[in-house]
Amino acid sequence: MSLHQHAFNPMQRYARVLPLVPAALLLCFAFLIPLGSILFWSVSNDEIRNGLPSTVKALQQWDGRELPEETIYRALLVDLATSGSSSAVSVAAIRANYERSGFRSLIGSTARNARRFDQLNAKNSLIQFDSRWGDIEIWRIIARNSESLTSYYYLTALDLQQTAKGQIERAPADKRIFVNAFFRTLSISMSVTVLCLFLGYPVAFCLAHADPKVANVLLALVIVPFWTPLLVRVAAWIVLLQREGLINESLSFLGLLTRGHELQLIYNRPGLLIAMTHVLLPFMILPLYSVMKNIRSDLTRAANSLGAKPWRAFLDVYLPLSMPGVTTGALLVFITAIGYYVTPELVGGSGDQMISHFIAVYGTEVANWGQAAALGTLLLIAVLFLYVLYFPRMSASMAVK
Amino acid sequence: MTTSAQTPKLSLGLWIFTAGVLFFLFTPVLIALPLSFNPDPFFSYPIRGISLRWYENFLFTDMWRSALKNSAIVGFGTVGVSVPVGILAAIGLSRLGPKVRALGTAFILAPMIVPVVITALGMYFFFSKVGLTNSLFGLILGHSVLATPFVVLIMSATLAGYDHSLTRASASLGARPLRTFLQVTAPILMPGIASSAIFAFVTSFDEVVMVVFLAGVDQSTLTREMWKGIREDINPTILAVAMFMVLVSVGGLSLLEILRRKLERDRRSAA
Repeated sequence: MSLHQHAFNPMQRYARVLPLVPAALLLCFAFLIPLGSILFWSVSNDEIRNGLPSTVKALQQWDGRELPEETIYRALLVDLATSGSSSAVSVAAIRANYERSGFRSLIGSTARNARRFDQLNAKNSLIQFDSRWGDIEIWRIIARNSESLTSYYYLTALDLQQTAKGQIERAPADKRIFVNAFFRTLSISMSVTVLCLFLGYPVAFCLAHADPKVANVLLALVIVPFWTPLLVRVAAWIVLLQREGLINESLSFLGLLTRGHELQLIYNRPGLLIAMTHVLLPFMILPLYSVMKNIRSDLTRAANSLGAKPWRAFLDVYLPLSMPGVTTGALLVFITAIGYYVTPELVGGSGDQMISHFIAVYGTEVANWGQAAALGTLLLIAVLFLYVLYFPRMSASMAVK
Repeated sequence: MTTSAQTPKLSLGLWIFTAGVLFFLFTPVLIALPLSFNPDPFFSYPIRGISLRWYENFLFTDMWRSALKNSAIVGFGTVGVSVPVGILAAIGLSRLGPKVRALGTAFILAPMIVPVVITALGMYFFFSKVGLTNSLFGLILGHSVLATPFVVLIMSATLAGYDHSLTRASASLGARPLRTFLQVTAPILMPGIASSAIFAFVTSFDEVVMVVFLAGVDQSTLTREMWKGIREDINPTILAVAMFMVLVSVGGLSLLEILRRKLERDRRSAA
């Protein structure tokens, strides 16, 4: 018997997990490696090391108190002259420019003239060419980014910056955009969750306790919009709410509005909240419904027969029993909302953009991958945190189902 | 007496509130879509008559045609990747012990939890290093990652109702595993497989974010063209496309619901 097990078990074990291999490969290639590359880009800092290798090496000896010595200026000239205007140098210039605007053009113009400088008197001739080479800050930025890892993108994502001396302080007011965006994301998601709960709870109650035939029809009325593609729903809201849209046209047709005084119903916060609530409401109603359907009504009736007023029976008996549905629904709506990109992009105003907007802009338009990656990682951490926090409750409500 | 009959009466106010919310859910699309038949390029009622000019615009413009073609290719490609992968994964999971299975399931369902923007960003980073951006295959992979969890969920539920003694019976009668799968297992699992395929197709067909991140001009899909059109200047052709997408999605998912009910009935009568 034991021989039998030893002989066959390993083979059987492999054969057992074999069907999982394709899924594992797909997930690795199109999910885990992509997420890993986000983490990588959020801290990766090879641009300046690769673009200015001799300078970085020479700067290792520098203490950062006074302007670098002649040898370091010479190393810079070597880097710029040997590479000309190669892509590594321009990538390094773009990276340096994140920390100080104008850095890119400084490196660019210096590189174009690199061969003309006096090799033996590099320091003076460089400072003569552009006085910024005599600014110690410029050198500190290069020195600070000699490491292959950086916290720059995370600091920026939290509206922080590193001073010349390495201390962390708040970024200047005009550069503080991300913390606001995070708070805006949370506040929009919170508002949408509250709206969905307020609208969804009574509907789910009706659905759960109406006559089954009526309830089926009502359920279909919830599910069909749920099945309607997101873009179609967003397009419908724009058609309804825009300046020349149905609502404004109808109001002016009825004489309630004069031309030129149309209501601004979209591309602002209320428009965004309306559209997002519309999209996410089924996510609230369906879990609530599935919990409420299983609440035994004799409990409420018992409360009633013991003399409790209907409201009291509801608050003390029904509401606590329906809480698992409330938690699941609220969590589902909130988590989905904080990652929303399409709806705010299409129906929000410029002041209503959520964090995903910045992830997309930095990732694909500005091509500042590090910044997009750091923002994405922070959003991902927030989502995972919510899941971990609420997962036990979620599974509890699933068990109720 | 059923449970619902015993509940306190639903008050009129509650019914009015519910009707209002359902009206809010249902009407925007219901009011907007008929404007795709408006002969005039305005978004207002009453309309002068019924015209198919925006539908002609959709079907006979190169841009929309190639978008439709790409959407179809990516949709069927997603079905082709995610359905076999998901079925196998569900079979693999069903053979594991409860603890390992929970872990494996959590791993496979993880793409449902992570916001699509983040997955799309990571894919954009990685795929641009391996030459899969601006390619339909890259899009198919991306959509497959989103669709596979649903396939696994549907197929796990289907497999839970599958009687494994049938496989053993087939094997004891001398059938090889592949033959058993094709002739015994697959027909029983068919409603589940069909549901998975529909769900995977609709997931891909309606998806916007990955398409915006990963597709170039040549891979533009219906959702990407709609996205562009809505951002720039929404026009009635977009409503015609929207009508088409509603028919595909709602039609497909209704079919899925019918299959699901059939599956449930079969299982009940089997039990």
